[in-house]
This record gives sequence, structure tokens and C-alpha cells, in this order.
Amino acid sequence: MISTFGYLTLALAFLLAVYGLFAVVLGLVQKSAAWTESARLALLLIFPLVTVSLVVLTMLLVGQRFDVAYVYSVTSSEMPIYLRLTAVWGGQSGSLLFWSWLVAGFSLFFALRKWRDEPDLLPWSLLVVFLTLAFFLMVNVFMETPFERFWHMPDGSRVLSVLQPVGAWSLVPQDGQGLNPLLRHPGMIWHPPTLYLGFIGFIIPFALAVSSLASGRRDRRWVDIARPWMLIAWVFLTLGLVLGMRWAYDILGWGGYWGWDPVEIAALLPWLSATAWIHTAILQRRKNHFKRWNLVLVILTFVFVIFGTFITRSGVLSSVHAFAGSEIGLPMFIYTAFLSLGSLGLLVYRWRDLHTDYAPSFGFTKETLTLFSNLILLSILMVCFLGVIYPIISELLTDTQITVGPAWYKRITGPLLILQLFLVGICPLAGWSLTNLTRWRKHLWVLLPISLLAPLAAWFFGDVRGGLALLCMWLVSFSVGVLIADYLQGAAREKGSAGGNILSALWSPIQRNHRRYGGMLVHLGIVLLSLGIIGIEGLQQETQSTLSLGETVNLGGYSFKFEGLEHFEEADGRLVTEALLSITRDGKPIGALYPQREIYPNMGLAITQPGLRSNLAVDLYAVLIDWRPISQDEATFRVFINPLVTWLWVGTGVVTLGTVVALLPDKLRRK
Amino acid sequence: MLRKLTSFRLEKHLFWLLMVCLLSGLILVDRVQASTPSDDEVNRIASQLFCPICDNIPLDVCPIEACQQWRELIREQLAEGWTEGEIKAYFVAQYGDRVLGEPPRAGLNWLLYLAPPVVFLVGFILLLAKMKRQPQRPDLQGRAHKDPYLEQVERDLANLDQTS
Repeated sequence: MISTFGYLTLALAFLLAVYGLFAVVLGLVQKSAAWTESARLALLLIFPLVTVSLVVLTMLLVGQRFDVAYVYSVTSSEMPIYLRLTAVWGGQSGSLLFWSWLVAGFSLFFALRKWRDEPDLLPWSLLVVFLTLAFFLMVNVFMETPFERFWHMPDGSRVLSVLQPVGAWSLVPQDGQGLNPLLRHPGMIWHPPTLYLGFIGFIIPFALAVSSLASGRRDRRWVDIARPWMLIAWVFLTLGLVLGMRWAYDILGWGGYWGWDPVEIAALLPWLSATAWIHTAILQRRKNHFKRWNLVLVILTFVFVIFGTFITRSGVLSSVHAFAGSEIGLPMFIYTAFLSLGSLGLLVYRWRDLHTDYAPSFGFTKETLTLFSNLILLSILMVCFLGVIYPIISELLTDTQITVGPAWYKRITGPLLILQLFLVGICPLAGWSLTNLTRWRKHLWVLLPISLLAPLAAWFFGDVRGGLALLCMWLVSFSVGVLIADYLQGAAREKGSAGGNILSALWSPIQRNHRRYGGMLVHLGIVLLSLGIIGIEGLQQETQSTLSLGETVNLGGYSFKFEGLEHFEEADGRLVTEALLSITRDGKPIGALYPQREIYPNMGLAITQPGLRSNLAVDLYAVLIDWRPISQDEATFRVFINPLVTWLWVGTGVVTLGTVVALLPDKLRRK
Repeated sequence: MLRKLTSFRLEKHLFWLLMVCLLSGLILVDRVQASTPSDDEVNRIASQLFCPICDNIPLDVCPIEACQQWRELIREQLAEGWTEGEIKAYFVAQYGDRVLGEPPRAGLNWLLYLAPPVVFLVGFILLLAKMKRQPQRPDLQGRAHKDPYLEQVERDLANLDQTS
């Protein structure tokens, strides 16, 4: 019964979304504020209704109601409670409900803001939000509902239905199938929600852009309102992407964190265009130019969000993430095409109105660097998009199946990423005018030689010989030096006004201009994060070896000794084989690795759990490939030395902190 | 005495025979070992190929039984002296271009290799051209920034004045 209740609240939310859609259209046609207000109130009701539905689903999952098909497919009795909770987004229909809930939540906050100063932006924004809500709720109610139950019919057949068919009685399986083993990881708690928050957050800037276009505005008001929404969505998407990388690093056992899988790339596409927007939005806010470009970027961002959702859920591209494939491909395609063509058509319609007689000056200014950075980001975006869709193009035009693998992506994006790192490094040296470099001249004489210490240390102590890796390390150390020097210059200027108090002086620049210093903190995070990328791409070492008991394999100055194998069964029925590899360096023991292979007998699946030992300098990572099942005196290992990977996670923390600083309220400045 | 001598000679011959056998055995073992490619050599090639059954999983990390057999096949081919190119060509002939991690530079695939640099260069040139067109920002030229919309309204008003 409770599942029927969950379905009915969902259906009611869908009806309200349809009503809101009609009300907002009527409001626009009749120019009636009353209809618009009615639609806004309907929007406020949708979130509580979808929340009830989501709570019901959670109760069903936790209560192990295996008569509900969704609960049966994603949980089993041996799964711990946290996994049963995360199973809300562990399958297609549940994750779509979670998606609808987040859209409703964002819409609620958006609808609750004060619209007194820009009432013309409200109806069009509501239209976009209602279109999205109505679409996803429709999919949830009619195609992918998580509330269907198993029924036994009088004729002996079994059917799936939300409501009890006449004469049927409930069929309750003894146990569920359980969650896909790859999803049974703490990463399941954080990765999907943060990624979804990122994706869905972009709906608000998109709705504002469309409403600004539709209402014929030429000012930058939509950019001002959209900025915090964009930053929040961007930081969640960043976190979602990096948490996904960590998950892959911990569980997939290929020694890396980014496999250039089409679905990974699909999540990167909106991140790239949103990053470009965050930068050019500053130019529009300062100079009221790049009106068209910012609209293009925000539309692209949301279109890529929908595109990513489409390819993940429609099964159009097969990948390791395509576990959620289903029959909703065509409706998703129609919705994606409608939103993309509609918003782009509107932009074309208003194109001439948004013209400005402005051309940026060429010189060593933040403006020039921002534009070149945009060019690089958009080029990477184009490369990634081409890589994702090319296999489809190839199959359609030449009937040849093609794999576009990591080697191609690395070859094409590598130089662009190095250029981007260079731009991030020199960005603080440039000002908004051409005079800034003179301020830096004397500091550069100190910074340049100091920054060379990092690649020199890598050469002498780390035995790094790769030219590109050394160049990137120099870029990183130079960028960090410039960012710190810039901050200290700001603090030194504040020292007088802070009465000589060093702590006050260090806080003052952030207090005076939290957007600038928040942005610089984000840049610092990106630079640190790139150290992790350099570590994997330029400095990784690996070897695979079959070892007898007591034998060692040497790699990068470390010795890994095979000490033994152990087999045990976990409480949830997993059969675990764990190897012990003791590690020594220069004869001194420094720890051990415990790589595992887990077998799920009920599902006939096995997954790898690498053994991992991390510090700021290096990750020691071992995968158990195979072993002799009877004597157990021989096993095959793949051992990796992954330098600097921890900086990827540290850098992400700094990026998050920087975004929070950039989002601090403007009131701070006036204090 | 003669028997002793013969026996000594026989022992001496046997000793040398044994030594020759041992040495040749050692050389043979060494050769056999040298001709068995290491896991790293196999993985170096397998990492450039993709599993023909699974989607988007490189052959060197794919855990399924069939992939283990393909890796062993690569080991045998290497042992027989096949080159990297020959092994890749074999897999392409068996399973098609999709087993290659990097699409071959041929036909329509050139799009993958030419489009990115061309797009970047065109963007770069367009950006430079756009920037050079107006070397100084209006506000740097000492003029107050004007809203083009207001300018248009003023022009329209002026036209209206003239026509009326």
C-alpha cells in the first residue's frame, strides 16, 4: 500500500507540473501576473510531494520490500543499511526519481527568491523549469516508476503493476538480486548525488538565460543572478567528477582514475563550458560585453547536461557506466532536441539585438588571457565531444565500429592542457590594464629561479627524466609561486591598515575582494590538482609479475615481497581472497599492501580491490591478478608506483574552499 | 692396472660428457626463458588493444576469461617473433578496427586527427583578427563607454527630428 501512496504523490506532482506549465503559458499569453503567481505556487508544492515519494522509496528499500520490483533489483537482504539507502540512485527508475527531486529542490529555492526587481524574468524561467520537471516526472510516472510490484495472476502468469490487478495476489520474492558489486563502495554515497547536484544546478542559469533572451533584455542582470547558481553547480560537478575518479581508482584496478570512458567525458563536457562561462561572465559583469558568447556558453552547458543524461540512460553508447540503459531513449532524445533547438533558435532570433561595437584589445591583460583560456577550454570540449560521437558517426557513415581510446584523447588534449596550465600560472601577472607587469618585474627575478628548484629536485632526487613532466613541474611551481606572491602583495598592502597585525593583514585581502581571492584559491587548487595528473600521465611506473611465496618484485626503488594469501567470507556473502605484500625501501620495511579479489557468488561477478598506500609524494598500488588456487604458493600481481596522486584530492579540496570564498556574500566587503 | 686406467678414462669422458650436457642444458633453458615474453611485454601491447567483447575496456586490464586467453595469444605470438604491428594487424583482421585503442589514420578517421588542430588554429586566428580590428578599448581612448542601444535610440530620435 505504501508503494501506491508513493506513486500517487509522484503522479500528483506530475499533474501539478503540467498545471504549472499551462498556467505559466497562460500568464505569458494573457500577460497575467496572477497566472504566473499561480504557477509559482504550484512549483512550491511539487518539491514536498516528490520528497514524500522519495521518502517512501527509501522506506521500501530499507524495509526490504522485495515485492517492489525496484527494491528486488537493487537490494538484497545481506546489504548493509548504507548501501540500501544509496540504492535509491542505484538503478534507472530510482535515480530518475532522485533526479526529479533535485530539480524540484533547486526550483523551489529559485522560486522563493525575491522577484520584485525583475518580474519579467520569472515567467520564462518558470517555463523552462516546468518543462524539465514535467518531462522527468512524466518519465517517472509512465515509463520508469520505482513503485511497480510483482503480482501473481489467476492464470499463473506474473505481471508488474503499481495497482493490484483484479484477482491477482502479491508475489514476494525471498530475497533481492542486490546492487551491482561495482556500486557497493562508499563512493556510491557521495559521487552520484554531487554529480547530479552539479548537473541539475545548471538548470537555473539556463532558465535565466532563456528568460533574458525571450523577454528581450539586453542587460547583464541574468548574469548577476546566475553567477552564484553557476558556481554552486560548478563546484558540485567538480566534486562529483573527482569523487568518481577516486572511486574508479579504488575499485576498478587499472592503476589510474580516468579512463576516458564516454560517460566520464559526457560529465566533463558541461564542466568545460561552465568553466569558460565563469570566466567570460566576469568580462560581461565588468564591461557589459560578450553578451552573445555568455549566452552560447550557458546554453551549451545545459545542452551538454541533457546530452550526458541522454547517452547514459538511453544506452546509445555502451560503456562501463551503461548499466542504466532502458527504453527511454526516444523521449529523452526529443526532450534534448527540443530544449537545444528551442534555446539556440531563441539566441539566433535575438542575435542582432545583442550586438556590441566592442573588440577586445590585444595585450598582456586579464581580458586577453581570459579569451585565450576560453579558446583552449572550448577546443578541449570540441575534442571530447568529437571523441564521444565519432564512433556513432563512423558506424553510420562507414559501417565501421571504432574505439576512441585514451591514447587519442591524451595525444590531442595533452598540449592544450599544458597551455591551459601555463595561462593559469601567468594569469595573476596580468592586470585589467597593461600596466600590471611593471609591478611584477622585480618579483619575477626572484620567482623564476626559485620555481626552477622543483624540476631540479625532481631531476636529482626523483630521477625524473621526461622533458614534458619536468616542464609541467616547473609550470606548477611557478604558478604556485606567482599565486602566493600575489596574495602576499595584497596582504602587505593591507598590513598598514591592519595595524601591523599579521593575521588581520592575511585575512584582509579576502575580506576586501573575496571574489578575486576566491578565484585565485580555485586556481591554486587547479594547479595542485594538475600535479596529480602529471604524476599519473608522466611519472607512473608499473610492472606485472608472478611471484612464489617469499619472492619479491622491484619497482622504482621499492621491493614488494609476496608474504601469503588468505581467504575469508564477509557477512554479506562475499568470498574474499586477500594477498599480503610487504614493502621495503633500501632494505627498510615501510609497510604492506593488501590487494583483494572479491567474488559475489549469487551474481557470478568478481571485482578487484587494489592494495593502496598513499602519502603526498607517492601512491604504492597493487592489484591481485591471479593465484594458484590449491597450493596458493604463487600469485600474479600488477604493481604501480603513482607519484603525486594525493595532490589531486588535495587540490580538489582547495578548489572547493576557493569556490566557497568566492561565494561569500558581498556584505563582507562593506564591513 | 689396465682396468683402472680404462675406468679412469671412462670416468673422465663421462665427466666431460656430463659437463657438456649441463652447459647445453643451461644454454637451452636460458634461451627458452629469453623467448618467453614477460607480462610487461604482453601488457605493453595489450594496453593498446581493446577487449573485443566488452565495451571500452583495454585488453590488459579486462578480467574475463576470453581476454586472458587473448593475452596468452599475444605472449605466444611474441615468443614466435611477431612484431607489435603484426600482432595488432592480426587482432584487427580478426575483430575489426574497434580493437584498436587509437583509430587508424585512414579514411574518415582523419577527421579525428585533423579537426582538433584546425579548429584550434581557426579559433586562434579569428580571436587575433577580432582583437586587432580595434587595438584600443573605447574607455582607454578617453571616451566614456556608450550603450549601443542608447546610441541607436539617440540616432532614431535625431532622424525623427529631421523628418518632422
